[in-house]
Amino acid sequence: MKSMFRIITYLFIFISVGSFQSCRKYLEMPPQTSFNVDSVFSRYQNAERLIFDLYQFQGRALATALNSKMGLSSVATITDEAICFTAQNGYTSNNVYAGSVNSTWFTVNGANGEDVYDNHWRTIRKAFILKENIDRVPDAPEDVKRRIKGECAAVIALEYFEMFKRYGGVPIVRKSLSEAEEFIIPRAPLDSVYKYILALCDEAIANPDFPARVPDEKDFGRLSKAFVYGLKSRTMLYAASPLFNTDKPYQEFGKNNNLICFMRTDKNLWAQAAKAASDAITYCEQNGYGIVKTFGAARNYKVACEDLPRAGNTEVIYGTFQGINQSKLYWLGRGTNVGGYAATEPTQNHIEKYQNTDGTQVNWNTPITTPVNDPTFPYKRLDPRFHLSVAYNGCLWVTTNPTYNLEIYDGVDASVPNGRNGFNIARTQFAYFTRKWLNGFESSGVWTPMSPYMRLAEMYLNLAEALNEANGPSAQVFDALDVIRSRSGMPLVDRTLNQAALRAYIERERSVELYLENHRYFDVKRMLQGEVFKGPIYDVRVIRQKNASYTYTKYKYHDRAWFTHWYLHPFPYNEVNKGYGLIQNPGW
Amino acid sequence: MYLHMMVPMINYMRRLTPLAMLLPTTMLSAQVTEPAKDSIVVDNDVRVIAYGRLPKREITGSVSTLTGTDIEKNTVFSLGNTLYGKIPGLVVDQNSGEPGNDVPGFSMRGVTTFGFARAPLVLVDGFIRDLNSVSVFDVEQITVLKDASATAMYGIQAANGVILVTTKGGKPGQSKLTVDFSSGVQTPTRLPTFYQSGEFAQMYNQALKNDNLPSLFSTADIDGFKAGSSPLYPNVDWMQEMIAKQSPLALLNVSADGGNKFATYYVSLGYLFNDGIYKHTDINDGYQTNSKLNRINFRSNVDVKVIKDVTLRVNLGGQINDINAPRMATSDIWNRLYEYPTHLFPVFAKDGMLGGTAAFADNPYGYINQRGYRETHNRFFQSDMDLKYDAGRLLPGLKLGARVGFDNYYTVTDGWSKSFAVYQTSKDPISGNPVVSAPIGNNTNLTYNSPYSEGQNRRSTAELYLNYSREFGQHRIDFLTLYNQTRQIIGRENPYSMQSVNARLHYAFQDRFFADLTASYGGTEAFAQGKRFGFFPALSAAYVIVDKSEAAKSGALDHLKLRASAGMVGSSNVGTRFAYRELYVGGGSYAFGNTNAGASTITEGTIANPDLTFEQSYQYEFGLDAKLFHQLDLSVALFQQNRTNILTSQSTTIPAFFGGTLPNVNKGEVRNRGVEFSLLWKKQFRNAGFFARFNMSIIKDKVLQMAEEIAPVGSEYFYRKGSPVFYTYGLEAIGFFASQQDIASSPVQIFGPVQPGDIKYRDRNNDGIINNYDVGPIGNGSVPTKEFGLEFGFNIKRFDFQVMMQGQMDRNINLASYGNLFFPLRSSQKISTFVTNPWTVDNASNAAYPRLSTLENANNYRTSTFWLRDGDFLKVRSLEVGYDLKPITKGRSNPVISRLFLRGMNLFTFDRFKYTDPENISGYPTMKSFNAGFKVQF
Repeated sequence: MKSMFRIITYLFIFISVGSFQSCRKYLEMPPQTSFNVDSVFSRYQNAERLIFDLYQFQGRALATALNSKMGLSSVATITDEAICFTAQNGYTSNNVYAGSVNSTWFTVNGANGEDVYDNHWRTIRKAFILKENIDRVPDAPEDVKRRIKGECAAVIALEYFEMFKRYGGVPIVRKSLSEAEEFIIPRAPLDSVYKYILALCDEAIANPDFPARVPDEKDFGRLSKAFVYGLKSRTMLYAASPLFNTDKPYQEFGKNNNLICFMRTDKNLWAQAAKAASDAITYCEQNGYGIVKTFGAARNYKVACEDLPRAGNTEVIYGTFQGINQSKLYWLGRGTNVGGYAATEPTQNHIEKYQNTDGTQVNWNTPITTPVNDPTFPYKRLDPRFHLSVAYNGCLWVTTNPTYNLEIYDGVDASVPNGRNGFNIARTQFAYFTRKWLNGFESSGVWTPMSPYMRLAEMYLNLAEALNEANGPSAQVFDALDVIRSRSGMPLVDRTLNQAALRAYIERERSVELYLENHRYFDVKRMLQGEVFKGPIYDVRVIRQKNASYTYTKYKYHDRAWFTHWYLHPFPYNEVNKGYGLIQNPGW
Repeated sequence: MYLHMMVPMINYMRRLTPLAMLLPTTMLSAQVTEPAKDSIVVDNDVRVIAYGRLPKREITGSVSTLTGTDIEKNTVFSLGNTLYGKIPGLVVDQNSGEPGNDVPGFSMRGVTTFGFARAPLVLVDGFIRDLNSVSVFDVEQITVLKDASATAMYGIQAANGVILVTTKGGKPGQSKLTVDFSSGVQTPTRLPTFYQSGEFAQMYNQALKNDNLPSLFSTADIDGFKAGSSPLYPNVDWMQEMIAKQSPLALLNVSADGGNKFATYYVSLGYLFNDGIYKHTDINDGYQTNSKLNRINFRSNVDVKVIKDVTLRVNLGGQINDINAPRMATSDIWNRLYEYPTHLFPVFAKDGMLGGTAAFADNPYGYINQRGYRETHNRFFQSDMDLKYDAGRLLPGLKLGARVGFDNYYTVTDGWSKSFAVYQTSKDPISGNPVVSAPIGNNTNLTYNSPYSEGQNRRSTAELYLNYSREFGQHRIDFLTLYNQTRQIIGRENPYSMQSVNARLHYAFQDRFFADLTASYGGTEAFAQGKRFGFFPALSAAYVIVDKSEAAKSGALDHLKLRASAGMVGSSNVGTRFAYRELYVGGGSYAFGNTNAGASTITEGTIANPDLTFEQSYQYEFGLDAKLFHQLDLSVALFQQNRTNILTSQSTTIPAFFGGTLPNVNKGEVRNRGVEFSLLWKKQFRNAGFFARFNMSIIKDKVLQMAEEIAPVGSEYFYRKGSPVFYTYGLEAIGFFASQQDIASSPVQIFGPVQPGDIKYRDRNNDGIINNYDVGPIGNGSVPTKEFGLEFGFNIKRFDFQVMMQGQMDRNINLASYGNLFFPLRSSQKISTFVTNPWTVDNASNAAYPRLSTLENANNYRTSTFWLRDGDFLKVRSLEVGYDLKPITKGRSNPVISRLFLRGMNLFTFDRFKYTDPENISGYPTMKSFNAGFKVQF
């Protein structure tokens, strides 16, 4: 019995000691399955994936309805060029129409506003981390590393430009911040931000290894030196425009006026902007870019806006694919052959900007009755860019067999059947559907779009505008416009226009050429013409008569809200509430 | 389960085994001569505490105990549902009444943190387990450990309190078989009701008028709806169509226990059945779609004296749940019952052809019965073993032991689904007769859905312990030290591991003064090295001022004990693990090049927080226990808890220009103070007796520190600091806009366009604009500050009666969280009868509800005082009438004891809300039940 007792005692001690030994590593860290900052920069293959990540938020900045802006109703719909289905609450453009814009959603992450303020900073941080650490990568040649640094500078410049145009002066960050720092960076004066963007552009341009253009096959969708030239032109055009180029900002902001304007009016900025545009054109054309003009007047515009470089698009300086077989239903009008949610539809206001191919305008002020069985009568002679951008009653929608013509009309009375795409059947609200970017994709519910962020055409328009503002009408201005017009088969600009008439002409041409490419909202604001957003916004009603003729009657669809303080975006209200001294823009 | 062979008499125990017996002492069984009569634990005086048991008078920490007999008067399916109002400070939140989905939520002593985990730690027989994995019939004691002194043995997991469930064991010397059976029906406590088609049509027209839109329903339509005779004018009460008046339930439990001086056992097998309340669910061939729970559970607890000085206990427990339900999610079903219109289509357009429209294709009849069914099967299997060695011969009073536990849990949900077609009824334009449309949707065959929810986890625990107890004259000590390691593996996740060394020194002087020094040093793998382990000490003491022996002299006061404790415990479940590592993670993919191929990306993850650690809870308590007039038990406790190191987000304070995702940091702080009170008045005469028990807790919490946005000057009410954690924040409604002039002269409300009849808000910061800066604290959240339980019972000869009530006070219901019931015509195509007297031009002065609108109304439909309702309630949780039959003793060693009873659960609710259950506003309703049953013991 005594030995039993001993055995048990020893056994117990033995087990205890043994267990404690094995328990020492009981709380081991789990296996490392992800990268840390060291392992990420230990191989170029990993670092390259960080480069790709720089573009994470860029895709959403692009033109088509695949970005989540305005709850998928797209930025174009808060301008006079387009409108969204107004019975769909999820389309936040409806809030803009009603005047219900505030700092709790318009720029807040996840709130379906026009911008996500945080994302600019996220991208800037990514670019700085990459720029600061890329030299650590052992298996990449020096020129590749230098190229990446140039690309990072370009990305930062782009992000700053995107904030500059929306918010005015913002904090200037020059490196990746670490957690230990004091986070007190006030909004920099507008002028400093402007200079910072130009400095970043110059840094990228001066970088010998940053390519003039990216090889399309592999890197289409990445930034290049040509883009930086274009960005510089765009930035300087915005800087020269009256929103910023003034000593009296759009709304008095007291001692903070320098955050939202340059504090002086400098005519010279227009001349500088003209030079930047001209430099951009020269540089791009030296490096293989050119206005698309070899596909015929009826197709050139489509190639320039929608096609890949490989398919002959020599004009897109920066654009991106947005994935294969994305749903395009938001981009489609309701009741088409494949359905549609009518997130972005053209307005009559925009339609009226298109000239006939002989330079005349269609008169919409009285109802238009078409000849019998000729529904497309009012549109027949319009600019080819119209036919590539807008779908309308009677147009051939699906061109391949079986073809499909849109029937966006209602019958005059019960004896005349309603058109299959008309209000009474498809519950469409408007008489026009978007066609831009859908050319060739009409017969399915999905598409594989390319959307451009910058095209060479814009540089010509920038040049024309800046020159006209700097020196008034000149041959150079008219020639620049004609480059754009003639490739779509439009006649030469009337050489007798004076400066003011030419200004209006350029604005019209710009909204036609850059339709839905996210320019209009900011162009109108930088030109201090926000009142045009008030509307009225027009549509046409199409009625099929008993004799199979059609009556087009223009009518006012609605008025929209516009407030002076909308010239600049609000900072998210919780950002202002963080208490580090971010000054909210006036009026918000 | 440690000491189910407890010595019956306290004095006897104190003398012979002077030590507090902090560990299972089955070897005592040899000394037991007279087992207790019915209850296993003698007059509740010996309580289970952390890793042991102690006579109540020696307990210095805050401990509340229920015995199996306290809770067995409940016909419930989850053990948690027996605890309403039973224990002061333990808040139990009612859930839905759906079979298999009725597990309530718990929190200890109100709200102590805004961090990730608020629920108390639950241990069954000393191992971390699900409270509801144990059958009500198998419970010997439930102990709730509340202060740091009582919980410090669980150190890093103890801050939210601890619930210990101890299962039954056998007693030597007798063998008995017990059969419990009860059966009855269940019925919803309350169901929401909706306006019928005629009234709805009138109200809808009014709403359209308010929106300046043309009417939809003509007078003829409204008359047609009211007459209700034509299939063109349906009037369907979906609740009545689809929800049965009642559903059956039954429970059966058979258990046996007994033993001799070498071995004791307790074994049981239980079965329960609970049917759901959907109607017409057996129309399908071969399957039913009703919600339904079938459960089988078993338990086998065996204690064996292996050899002299060595005892072994093996506990096995298991549960098998088979849950059937309609294929569609419960919440979707109820949303459709609430939202589907009464007036648009009948249940059946024609024989066997369900009604519906393209927009309302989910006819609730078909949605419940013709979309297939889903089955959830889950199994718990729990096993533990305790090997103990009395090393008294090596050193008197020394005991050594080792315990292991292995638990396994598996759940899988699969199902069969199909779809159905609906048919729209419309008026033939020529004849005016109803015609039925072509099918909308398809009738398909049942297809199998492979498991779409599957999970398994297992937990293994090992413990080694050493217990030493000794008496030195008037001093007595009892020392326990214990090493514990626990690892839980959940699916593919990294294992969750805990490790700790714990010790407690219990000291008694003259059997009047008691003190405990408890400490734990424990850690988890979730944090960085250096931050993993924490040291959690607690000290407590109690002094018995008046003892029973002196009662005769003092008269009124029989017993008085004062106790006090202070200590610090932790909560390691902060919702994030391994945050100390700086990681780069996969980002989204982005298309480059002509091929449109997505390039995968890497992105900086959340920035590391090497300092991440557990929450700390500093707890202080002062308490008093007394017995008065030989019949009144009173106990009072005052306590305070300061929770620090609560994880709080920095993103509300760090500027966006930082650009990265910052980790949460341990900077939050919450203070919680309260008082608990319980009173038991009990008296037994010769043939009759009664008892009344009342307990109440009043607890208030306050956020002391939390990362918050800076409120603009004049809007300081914006802060959550200074308010209770779950306080409701919203706008202050000050009536309805009376007219356009009223709107024009009032501050601008920026949430959307307003019209007369919309809710008008107070401009809290007087800046002339009503926006988010006017949001401030407006009322209590759903967590009450006062909770109470009231129990009353009497017996006269063989009859007895008992009722248990529970209530909560100072809680609010925020109707804005249940839009489909309270925001008419927004997501719903019905109007609930809660909506009375809505604003109209003619009724502006009496209006009780904002104007009806068919459009989104962002101004009205947001949290404000208008939508807050008083959520206080008093519920009759259980009521029982019983009759004990005369024991049959003739010719038997064990008498046959039988009892018959009638029992009601959740019978009445007294409240001011009165629309649906104040605790379970929408969704599958809370149930009440009526049962009859018997208990026989052979």
